[in-house]
Amino acid sequence: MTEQILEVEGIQKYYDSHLIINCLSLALSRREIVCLLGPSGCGKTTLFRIIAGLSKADAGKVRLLPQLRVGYVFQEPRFLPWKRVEENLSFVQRNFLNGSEAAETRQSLLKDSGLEHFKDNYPDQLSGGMKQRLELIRALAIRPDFMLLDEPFKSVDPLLKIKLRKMLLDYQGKYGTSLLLITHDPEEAVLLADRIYLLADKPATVIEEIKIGRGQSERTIRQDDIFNYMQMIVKILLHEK
Amino acid sequence: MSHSISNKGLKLVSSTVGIMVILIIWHFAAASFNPLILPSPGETWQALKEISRSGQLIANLLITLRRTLLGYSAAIFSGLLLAVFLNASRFWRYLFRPIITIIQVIPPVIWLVLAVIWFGIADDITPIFLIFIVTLPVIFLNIYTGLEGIDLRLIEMATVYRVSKKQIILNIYLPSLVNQLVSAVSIGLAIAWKAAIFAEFLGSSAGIGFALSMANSNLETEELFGWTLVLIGLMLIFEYLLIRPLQQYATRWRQND
Repeated sequence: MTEQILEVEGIQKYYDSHLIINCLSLALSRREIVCLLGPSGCGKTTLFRIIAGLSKADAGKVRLLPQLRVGYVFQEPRFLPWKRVEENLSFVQRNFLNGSEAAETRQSLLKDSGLEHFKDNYPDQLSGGMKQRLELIRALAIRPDFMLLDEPFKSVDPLLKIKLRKMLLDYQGKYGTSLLLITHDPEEAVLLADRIYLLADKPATVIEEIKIGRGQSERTIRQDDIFNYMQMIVKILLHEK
Repeated sequence: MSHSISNKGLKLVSSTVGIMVILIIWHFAAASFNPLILPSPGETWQALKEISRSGQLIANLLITLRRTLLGYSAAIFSGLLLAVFLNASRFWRYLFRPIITIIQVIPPVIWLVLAVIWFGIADDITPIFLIFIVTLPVIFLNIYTGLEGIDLRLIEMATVYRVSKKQIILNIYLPSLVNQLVSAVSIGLAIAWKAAIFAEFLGSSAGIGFALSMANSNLETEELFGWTLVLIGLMLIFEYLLIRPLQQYATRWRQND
Protein backbone atom coordinates (compact mmCIF):
# COMPACT_ATOMS: atom_id res chain seq x y z
CA MET A 1 0.00 0.00 0.00
CA THR A 2 1.28 3.48 -0.85
CA GLU A 3 2.31 5.67 2.05
CA GLN A 4 -0.13 8.41 2.97
CA ILE A 5 1.60 11.77 3.18
CA LEU A 6 -1.35 14.00 3.99
CA GLU A 7 -4.45 13.38 6.02
CA VAL A 8 -7.05 16.05 6.64
CA GLU A 9 -9.71 15.10 9.16
CA GLY A 10 -12.92 16.91 9.96
CA ILE A 11 -11.67 20.42 9.28
CA GLN A 12 -13.95 23.27 10.22
CA LYS A 13 -13.30 26.93 9.65
CA TYR A 14 -15.32 30.01 10.43
CA TYR A 15 -14.80 33.42 8.92
CA ASP A 16 -16.59 36.30 10.66
CA SER A 17 -19.00 33.78 12.26
CA HIS A 18 -19.78 32.24 8.84
CA LEU A 19 -18.95 28.57 8.48
CA ILE A 20 -16.87 28.30 5.30
CA ILE A 21 -15.43 24.79 5.66
CA ASN A 22 -17.49 22.08 7.30
CA CYS A 23 -16.18 18.68 8.41
CA LEU A 24 -13.88 18.32 5.44
CA SER A 25 -11.72 15.21 5.27
CA LEU A 26 -9.35 14.03 2.58
CA ALA A 27 -6.15 12.08 2.11
CA LEU A 28 -3.24 12.02 -0.30
CA SER A 29 -0.69 9.28 -0.95
CA ARG A 30 2.85 9.46 -2.23
CA ARG A 31 3.05 10.05 -6.03
CA GLU A 32 -0.68 10.67 -6.15
CA ILE A 33 -2.40 13.52 -7.99
CA VAL A 34 -5.61 14.66 -6.37
CA CYS A 35 -7.87 17.46 -7.55
CA LEU A 36 -10.28 19.49 -5.46
CA LEU A 37 -13.07 20.42 -7.82
CA GLY A 38 -15.68 22.92 -6.79
CA PRO A 39 -17.11 26.33 -7.54
CA SER A 40 -14.93 29.41 -7.16
CA GLY A 41 -14.92 30.95 -3.72
CA CYS A 42 -16.11 27.82 -1.89
CA GLY A 43 -13.23 27.79 0.59
CA LYS A 44 -10.63 25.72 -1.27
CA THR A 45 -7.89 28.33 -0.90
CA THR A 46 -8.63 28.57 2.83
CA LEU A 47 -8.22 24.80 3.07
CA PHE A 48 -4.85 25.08 1.30
CA ARG A 49 -3.76 27.80 3.72
CA ILE A 50 -4.66 25.51 6.61
CA ILE A 51 -2.72 22.61 5.11
CA ALA A 52 0.31 24.87 4.49
CA GLY A 53 0.18 26.16 8.08
CA LEU A 54 -0.66 29.74 7.06
CA SER A 55 -4.03 29.64 8.77
CA LYS A 56 -5.48 27.72 11.72
CA ALA A 57 -8.56 25.50 11.57
CA ASP A 58 -11.28 25.98 14.20
CA ALA A 59 -11.69 22.22 14.46
CA GLY A 60 -10.18 19.08 12.93
CA LYS A 61 -6.68 17.89 12.23
CA VAL A 62 -4.10 18.13 9.48
CA ARG A 63 -1.41 15.46 9.43
CA LEU A 64 1.40 16.10 6.99
CA LEU A 65 4.46 13.86 7.03
CA PRO A 66 7.26 15.77 8.74
CA GLN A 67 10.30 16.86 6.73
CA LEU A 68 8.33 16.97 3.49
CA ARG A 69 9.44 19.56 0.99
CA VAL A 70 6.28 21.52 0.26
CA GLY A 71 5.93 23.63 -2.88
CA TYR A 72 3.02 26.04 -3.08
CA VAL A 73 1.74 27.53 -6.34
CA PHE A 74 -0.27 30.56 -5.24
CA GLN A 75 -3.31 31.64 -7.20
CA GLU A 76 -1.88 35.15 -7.63
CA PRO A 77 1.87 35.05 -8.35
CA ARG A 78 3.92 36.27 -5.38
CA PHE A 79 7.43 37.33 -6.26
CA LEU A 80 10.02 39.55 -4.68
CA PRO A 81 9.80 42.41 -7.20
CA TRP A 82 13.33 43.65 -6.41
CA LYS A 83 14.88 40.28 -7.25
CA ARG A 84 15.46 39.00 -10.74
CA VAL A 85 13.70 35.90 -12.07
CA GLU A 86 16.55 33.53 -11.24
CA GLU A 87 17.08 35.14 -7.81
CA ASN A 88 13.41 34.55 -7.02
CA LEU A 89 14.01 30.85 -7.62
CA SER A 90 17.21 30.68 -5.58
CA PHE A 91 15.52 32.56 -2.72
CA VAL A 92 13.26 29.57 -1.98
CA GLN A 93 15.87 26.91 -2.74
CA ARG A 94 18.43 27.79 -0.07
CA ASN A 95 16.88 25.63 2.65
CA PHE A 96 16.40 22.57 0.52
CA LEU A 97 19.16 22.09 -2.04
CA ASN A 98 22.91 22.59 -2.02
CA GLY A 99 24.51 25.11 -4.38
CA SER A 100 25.16 22.92 -7.42
CA GLU A 101 21.92 20.96 -7.09
CA ALA A 102 19.99 24.21 -6.82
CA ALA A 103 21.72 25.76 -9.84
CA GLU A 104 21.20 22.66 -11.95
CA THR A 105 17.48 22.50 -11.07
CA ARG A 106 17.06 26.22 -11.80
CA GLN A 107 18.70 25.99 -15.18
CA SER A 108 16.65 22.99 -16.24
CA LEU A 109 13.37 24.55 -15.08
CA LEU A 110 14.14 27.88 -16.73
CA LYS A 111 14.91 26.06 -19.96
CA ASP A 112 11.81 23.83 -19.85
CA SER A 113 9.53 26.75 -19.06
CA GLY A 114 10.97 28.93 -21.81
CA LEU A 115 12.08 31.56 -19.30
CA GLU A 116 15.78 30.97 -19.88
CA HIS A 117 16.26 34.27 -21.70
CA PHE A 118 14.36 36.18 -19.04
CA LYS A 119 16.29 34.96 -16.01
CA ASP A 120 17.89 38.38 -15.49
CA ASN A 121 14.61 40.27 -15.81
CA TYR A 122 12.62 41.57 -12.89
CA PRO A 123 9.16 40.00 -12.38
CA ASP A 124 7.45 43.28 -13.29
CA GLN A 125 9.01 43.00 -16.73
CA LEU A 126 7.28 39.65 -17.42
CA SER A 127 3.91 39.07 -19.06
CA GLY A 128 1.01 37.46 -17.17
CA GLY A 129 1.67 34.05 -18.70
CA MET A 130 5.38 34.24 -17.89
CA LYS A 131 4.58 35.09 -14.28
CA GLN A 132 2.31 32.06 -14.06
CA ARG A 133 5.14 29.90 -15.41
CA LEU A 134 7.56 31.40 -12.92
CA GLU A 135 5.13 30.73 -10.06
CA LEU A 136 4.96 27.08 -11.12
CA ILE A 137 8.69 26.56 -11.56
CA ARG A 138 9.45 28.27 -8.25
CA ALA A 139 7.46 25.55 -6.50
CA LEU A 140 9.25 22.90 -8.57
CA ALA A 141 12.65 24.49 -7.89
CA ILE A 142 12.87 22.95 -4.43
CA ARG A 143 12.25 19.45 -5.89
CA PRO A 144 9.16 19.17 -3.72
CA ASP A 145 7.75 15.95 -2.24
CA PHE A 146 4.34 17.55 -2.11
CA MET A 147 2.81 20.43 -4.02
CA LEU A 148 -0.22 22.56 -3.35
CA LEU A 149 -1.41 24.10 -6.61
CA ASP A 150 -4.11 26.73 -6.30
CA GLU A 151 -5.60 27.11 -9.77
CA PRO A 152 -2.17 27.18 -11.36
CA PHE A 153 -3.43 27.53 -14.92
CA LYS A 154 -6.22 29.98 -14.22
CA SER A 155 -5.27 32.89 -16.45
CA VAL A 156 -3.10 31.04 -18.93
CA ASP A 157 -3.88 30.80 -22.63
CA PRO A 158 -4.90 27.32 -23.90
CA LEU A 159 -1.63 26.55 -25.68
CA LEU A 160 0.51 27.46 -22.70
CA LYS A 161 -1.86 25.53 -20.46
CA ILE A 162 -1.09 22.33 -22.40
CA LYS A 163 2.66 22.99 -22.16
CA LEU A 164 2.56 23.73 -18.43
CA ARG A 165 0.42 20.68 -17.65
CA LYS A 166 2.88 18.51 -19.53
CA MET A 167 5.81 20.06 -17.73
CA LEU A 168 4.14 19.51 -14.37
CA LEU A 169 3.40 15.86 -15.16
CA ASP A 170 6.96 15.29 -16.40
CA TYR A 171 8.42 16.59 -13.14
CA GLN A 172 5.83 14.72 -11.12
CA GLY A 173 6.82 11.51 -12.87
CA LYS A 174 10.54 12.20 -12.47
CA TYR A 175 10.53 13.07 -8.77
CA GLY A 176 7.40 11.22 -7.61
CA THR A 177 5.85 14.36 -6.22
CA SER A 178 2.35 14.23 -4.73
CA LEU A 179 0.07 16.93 -6.06
CA LEU A 180 -3.02 18.47 -4.52
CA LEU A 181 -4.60 20.74 -7.07
CA ILE A 182 -7.49 23.19 -6.89
CA THR A 183 -9.52 23.73 -9.99
CA HIS A 184 -13.03 24.56 -11.02
CA ASP A 185 -12.51 23.10 -14.47
CA PRO A 186 -13.82 19.48 -14.72
CA GLU A 187 -11.76 18.87 -17.85
CA GLU A 188 -8.57 19.80 -16.07
CA ALA A 189 -9.46 17.64 -13.08
CA VAL A 190 -10.02 14.56 -15.23
CA LEU A 191 -6.95 15.26 -17.34
CA LEU A 192 -4.58 15.37 -14.42
CA ALA A 193 -5.99 13.60 -11.40
CA ASP A 194 -5.89 10.07 -10.02
CA ARG A 195 -8.73 11.03 -7.73
CA ILE A 196 -11.13 13.95 -7.58
CA TYR A 197 -12.84 15.34 -4.52
CA LEU A 198 -16.02 17.11 -5.51
CA LEU A 199 -16.71 19.95 -3.08
CA ALA A 200 -19.99 21.60 -2.13
CA ASP A 201 -20.33 25.36 -2.12
CA LYS A 202 -20.34 27.30 1.16
CA PRO A 203 -19.58 25.68 3.45
CA ALA A 204 -17.04 23.58 1.59
CA THR A 205 -17.26 19.88 2.27
CA VAL A 206 -16.54 16.73 0.25
CA ILE A 207 -19.71 15.51 -1.45
CA GLU A 208 -18.19 12.89 -3.74
CA GLU A 209 -14.89 11.15 -4.26
CA ILE A 210 -14.26 10.04 -7.83
CA LYS A 211 -11.46 7.62 -8.70
CA ILE A 212 -10.24 8.18 -12.21
CA GLY A 213 -8.25 4.94 -12.15
CA ARG A 214 -4.97 5.23 -13.85
CA GLY A 215 -1.79 3.22 -13.44
CA GLN A 216 1.07 5.18 -11.94
CA SER A 217 3.15 4.42 -15.03
CA GLU A 218 0.97 6.22 -17.54
CA ARG A 219 1.49 9.86 -16.64
CA THR A 220 0.27 11.25 -19.92
CA ILE A 221 -2.51 13.58 -20.76
CA ARG A 222 -5.64 11.69 -21.68
CA GLN A 223 -7.21 12.29 -25.05
CA ASP A 224 -9.15 9.04 -25.44
CA ASP A 225 -12.76 7.88 -25.05
CA ILE A 226 -12.34 7.04 -21.38
CA PHE A 227 -11.30 10.63 -20.83
CA ASN A 228 -14.36 11.96 -22.62
CA TYR A 229 -16.58 9.58 -20.67
CA MET A 230 -15.09 10.50 -17.28
CA GLN A 231 -15.28 14.17 -18.08
CA MET A 232 -18.96 13.81 -18.88
CA ILE A 233 -19.64 11.99 -15.61
CA VAL A 234 -17.82 14.62 -13.58
CA LYS A 235 -19.71 17.41 -15.31
CA ILE A 236 -23.05 15.69 -14.62
CA LEU A 237 -22.11 15.09 -10.97
CA LEU A 238 -20.99 18.66 -10.55
CA HIS A 239 -24.21 19.88 -12.07
CA GLU A 240 -26.43 17.57 -9.96
CA LYS A 241 -24.77 18.37 -6.65
CA MET B 1 21.00 53.43 -26.51
CA SER B 2 21.17 56.26 -29.08
CA HIS B 3 17.66 57.16 -28.00
CA SER B 4 18.80 57.63 -24.41
CA ILE B 5 21.83 59.68 -25.48
CA SER B 6 19.68 62.01 -27.58
CA ASN B 7 17.28 62.29 -24.64
CA LYS B 8 20.11 63.25 -22.29
CA GLY B 9 21.45 65.73 -24.86
CA LEU B 10 18.02 67.32 -25.19
CA LYS B 11 17.71 67.61 -21.41
CA LEU B 12 21.14 69.28 -21.13
CA VAL B 13 20.43 71.74 -23.94
CA SER B 14 16.98 72.62 -22.51
CA SER B 15 18.36 73.13 -18.99
CA THR B 16 21.21 75.32 -20.28
CA VAL B 17 18.82 77.40 -22.38
CA GLY B 18 16.51 77.76 -19.34
CA ILE B 19 19.33 79.02 -17.13
CA MET B 20 20.54 81.41 -19.88
CA VAL B 21 17.04 82.86 -20.23
CA ILE B 22 16.81 83.47 -16.45
CA LEU B 23 20.24 85.13 -16.45
CA ILE B 24 19.35 87.38 -19.39
CA ILE B 25 16.02 88.45 -17.79
CA TRP B 26 17.83 89.00 -14.48
CA HIS B 27 20.52 91.07 -16.20
CA PHE B 28 18.03 93.38 -17.94
CA ALA B 29 15.76 93.65 -14.91
CA ALA B 30 18.74 94.59 -12.71
CA ALA B 31 19.64 97.43 -15.12
CA SER B 32 16.41 99.21 -14.20
CA PHE B 33 16.85 98.93 -10.41
CA ASN B 34 19.19 100.17 -7.73
CA PRO B 35 21.74 97.39 -6.87
CA LEU B 36 20.46 97.65 -3.30
CA ILE B 37 17.13 96.25 -4.53
CA LEU B 38 18.27 93.98 -7.35
CA PRO B 39 22.00 93.47 -8.03
CA SER B 40 22.99 92.25 -11.51
CA PRO B 41 24.38 88.74 -12.16
CA GLY B 42 27.84 90.32 -12.57
CA GLU B 43 27.68 92.11 -9.20
CA THR B 44 26.43 88.93 -7.55
CA TRP B 45 29.32 86.99 -9.09
CA GLN B 46 31.80 89.57 -7.77
CA ALA B 47 30.27 89.27 -4.27
CA LEU B 48 30.46 85.52 -4.47
CA LYS B 49 34.15 85.69 -5.44
CA GLU B 50 34.78 88.01 -2.50
CA ILE B 51 33.00 85.67 -0.05
CA SER B 52 35.07 82.81 -1.37
CA ARG B 53 38.38 84.75 -1.30
CA SER B 54 37.89 85.85 2.30
CA GLY B 55 37.45 82.27 3.43
CA GLN B 56 33.89 82.93 4.66
CA LEU B 57 32.36 80.58 2.12
CA ILE B 58 34.16 77.43 3.24
CA ALA B 59 34.00 78.30 6.95
CA ASN B 60 30.23 78.95 6.98
CA LEU B 61 29.51 76.12 4.60
CA LEU B 62 31.27 73.61 6.86
CA ILE B 63 29.41 74.88 9.93
CA THR B 64 25.99 74.62 8.27
CA LEU B 65 26.79 71.25 6.71
CA ARG B 66 27.96 69.84 10.04
CA ARG B 67 24.82 71.02 11.84
CA THR B 68 22.52 69.74 9.10
CA LEU B 69 24.26 66.38 9.09
CA LEU B 70 23.99 66.05 12.89
CA GLY B 71 20.32 67.09 13.19
CA TYR B 72 19.35 65.17 10.09
CA SER B 73 21.12 61.92 11.08
CA ALA B 74 19.56 62.12 14.54
CA ALA B 75 16.12 62.56 12.90
CA ILE B 76 16.66 59.60 10.53
CA PHE B 77 17.85 57.37 13.37
CA SER B 78 15.03 58.36 15.75
CA GLY B 79 12.39 58.32 12.99
CA LEU B 80 13.40 54.81 11.95
CA LEU B 81 13.44 53.54 15.53
CA LEU B 82 10.11 55.18 16.35
CA ALA B 83 8.47 53.79 13.19
CA VAL B 84 9.63 50.24 13.97
CA PHE B 85 8.47 50.54 17.60
CA LEU B 86 5.08 51.99 16.76
CA ASN B 87 4.53 49.45 14.04
CA ALA B 88 5.30 46.60 16.40
CA SER B 89 3.18 47.62 19.37
CA ARG B 90 -0.35 48.91 19.50
CA PHE B 91 0.26 50.46 22.93
CA TRP B 92 3.19 52.57 21.71
CA ARG B 93 1.25 53.45 18.59
CA TYR B 94 -1.68 54.85 20.60
CA LEU B 95 0.71 56.66 22.93
CA PHE B 96 3.05 58.28 20.41
CA ARG B 97 1.01 58.77 17.24
CA PRO B 98 -0.81 61.93 18.51
CA ILE B 99 2.48 63.35 19.78
CA ILE B 100 4.03 63.00 16.31
CA THR B 101 1.04 64.76 14.77
CA ILE B 102 1.34 67.60 17.31
CA ILE B 103 5.08 67.97 16.53
CA GLN B 104 4.23 68.04 12.83
CA VAL B 105 1.54 70.73 12.98
CA ILE B 106 3.52 73.18 15.14
CA PRO B 107 5.06 75.75 12.72
CA PRO B 108 8.89 75.76 12.58
CA VAL B 109 9.01 79.39 13.73
CA ILE B 110 7.46 78.39 17.08
CA TRP B 111 10.04 75.63 17.52
CA LEU B 112 12.73 78.18 16.74
CA VAL B 113 11.42 80.66 19.29
CA LEU B 114 11.22 77.89 21.87
CA ALA B 115 14.73 76.68 21.01
CA VAL B 116 16.12 80.20 21.46
CA ILE B 117 14.35 80.43 24.84
CA TRP B 118 15.59 77.01 25.92
CA PHE B 119 19.12 76.99 24.48
CA GLY B 120 19.82 80.66 23.72
CA ILE B 121 21.54 81.84 20.55
CA ALA B 122 23.93 78.98 20.96
CA ASP B 123 26.44 78.07 18.30
CA ASP B 124 25.14 74.61 17.52
CA ILE B 125 22.30 73.35 19.63
CA THR B 126 19.52 75.71 18.43
CA PRO B 127 19.90 74.96 14.68
CA ILE B 128 20.51 71.24 15.32
CA PHE B 129 17.37 71.06 17.47
CA LEU B 130 15.26 72.81 14.84
CA ILE B 131 16.56 70.57 12.04
CA PHE B 132 15.84 67.50 14.17
CA ILE B 133 12.33 68.46 15.27
CA VAL B 134 11.18 69.65 11.83
CA THR B 135 12.60 66.66 9.96
CA LEU B 136 11.61 63.92 12.42
CA PRO B 137 7.86 63.70 11.57
CA VAL B 138 8.58 63.56 7.82
CA ILE B 139 11.12 60.76 8.23
CA PHE B 140 8.91 58.90 10.69
CA LEU B 141 5.76 59.11 8.56
CA ASN B 142 7.52 57.88 5.43
CA ILE B 143 9.08 54.89 7.13
CA TYR B 144 5.94 54.10 9.11
CA THR B 145 3.88 54.11 5.89
CA GLY B 146 6.50 51.84 4.34
CA LEU B 147 6.23 49.37 7.20
CA GLU B 148 2.45 49.36 6.98
CA GLY B 149 2.64 48.75 3.26
CA ILE B 150 4.84 45.65 3.43
CA ASP B 151 3.24 42.91 1.36
CA LEU B 152 2.34 40.23 3.89
CA ARG B 153 1.70 37.77 1.08
CA LEU B 154 5.44 37.74 0.43
CA ILE B 155 6.11 36.90 4.08
CA GLU B 156 3.62 34.02 3.77
CA MET B 157 5.34 32.77 0.64
CA ALA B 158 8.70 32.83 2.41
CA THR B 159 7.20 31.04 5.43
CA VAL B 160 5.89 28.22 3.24
CA TYR B 161 9.40 27.78 1.82
CA ARG B 162 10.86 27.78 5.34
CA VAL B 163 12.98 30.87 4.74
CA SER B 164 14.65 31.99 8.00
CA LYS B 165 13.58 35.13 9.91
CA LYS B 166 16.94 36.73 9.16
CA GLN B 167 16.57 36.12 5.42
CA ILE B 168 13.01 37.47 5.54
CA ILE B 169 14.24 40.69 7.16
CA LEU B 170 17.11 41.02 4.70
CA ASN B 171 15.23 40.05 1.55
CA ILE B 172 11.68 41.27 2.19
CA TYR B 173 11.46 43.84 4.99
CA LEU B 174 14.53 45.90 4.06
CA PRO B 175 13.98 46.07 0.30
CA SER B 176 10.30 46.93 0.91
CA LEU B 177 11.45 49.84 3.04
CA VAL B 178 14.24 51.09 0.77
CA ASN B 179 11.82 53.00 -1.42
CA GLN B 180 10.22 54.78 1.52
CA LEU B 181 13.62 55.36 3.10
CA VAL B 182 14.94 57.03 -0.03
CA SER B 183 11.81 59.12 -0.25
CA ALA B 184 12.16 60.06 3.44
CA VAL B 185 15.83 60.92 2.95
CA SER B 186 15.19 63.12 -0.08
CA ILE B 187 12.20 65.04 1.32
CA GLY B 188 13.87 65.22 4.74
CA LEU B 189 17.11 66.61 3.35
CA ALA B 190 15.42 69.58 1.66
CA ILE B 191 13.48 70.33 4.84
CA ALA B 192 16.57 69.93 7.04
CA TRP B 193 18.58 72.25 4.83
CA LYS B 194 15.90 74.96 4.90
CA ALA B 195 15.49 74.55 8.68
CA ALA B 196 19.25 74.93 9.15
CA ILE B 197 19.35 78.22 7.25
CA PHE B 198 16.22 79.48 9.02
CA ALA B 199 17.60 78.63 12.47
CA GLU B 200 20.97 80.20 11.72
CA PHE B 201 19.31 83.30 10.31
CA LEU B 202 17.45 84.01 13.54
CA GLY B 203 19.08 81.99 16.27
CA SER B 204 22.79 81.51 15.70
CA SER B 205 26.07 83.37 15.41
CA ALA B 206 27.65 81.36 12.60
CA GLY B 207 26.79 79.45 9.43
CA ILE B 208 25.32 80.36 6.06
CA GLY B 209 22.02 81.49 7.61
CA PHE B 210 23.92 83.84 9.91
CA ALA B 211 25.97 85.16 6.97
CA LEU B 212 22.70 85.81 5.12
CA SER B 213 21.36 87.63 8.15
CA MET B 214 24.50 89.80 8.35
CA ALA B 215 24.35 90.64 4.64
CA ASN B 216 20.71 91.58 5.10
CA SER B 217 21.42 93.81 8.14
CA ASN B 218 24.33 95.53 6.35
CA LEU B 219 22.22 96.07 3.22
CA GLU B 220 24.72 94.05 1.13
CA THR B 221 22.13 92.74 -1.28
CA GLU B 222 24.69 91.39 -3.78
CA GLU B 223 26.18 89.26 -0.97
CA LEU B 224 22.68 88.06 -0.05
CA PHE B 225 22.21 86.98 -3.65
CA GLY B 226 25.66 85.36 -3.62
CA TRP B 227 24.81 83.24 -0.61
CA THR B 228 21.46 82.32 -2.17
CA LEU B 229 23.33 81.05 -5.25
CA VAL B 230 25.54 78.96 -2.96
CA LEU B 231 22.41 77.44 -1.38
CA ILE B 232 20.86 76.66 -4.76
CA GLY B 233 24.14 75.15 -5.99
CA LEU B 234 24.43 72.92 -2.93
CA MET B 235 20.86 71.64 -3.19
CA LEU B 236 21.45 70.85 -6.87
CA ILE B 237 24.61 68.93 -5.97
CA PHE B 238 22.72 66.95 -3.31
CA GLU B 239 19.87 66.31 -5.71
CA TYR B 240 21.96 65.07 -8.62
CA LEU B 241 24.83 63.35 -6.83
CA LEU B 242 22.97 61.79 -3.91
CA ILE B 243 19.19 61.74 -4.15
CA ARG B 244 18.68 60.87 -7.84
CA PRO B 245 21.21 57.98 -7.88
CA LEU B 246 19.62 56.68 -4.65
CA GLN B 247 16.14 56.91 -6.18
CA GLN B 248 17.33 55.17 -9.33
CA TYR B 249 18.82 52.37 -7.26
CA ALA B 250 15.70 51.96 -5.14
CA THR B 251 13.38 51.71 -8.13
CA ARG B 252 15.69 49.83 -10.50
CA TRP B 253 13.30 46.85 -10.65
CA ARG B 254 10.41 49.06 -11.74
CA GLN B 255 12.04 50.11 -14.97
CA ASN B 256 10.36 48.49 -17.92
CA ASP B 257 12.63 47.56 -20.76
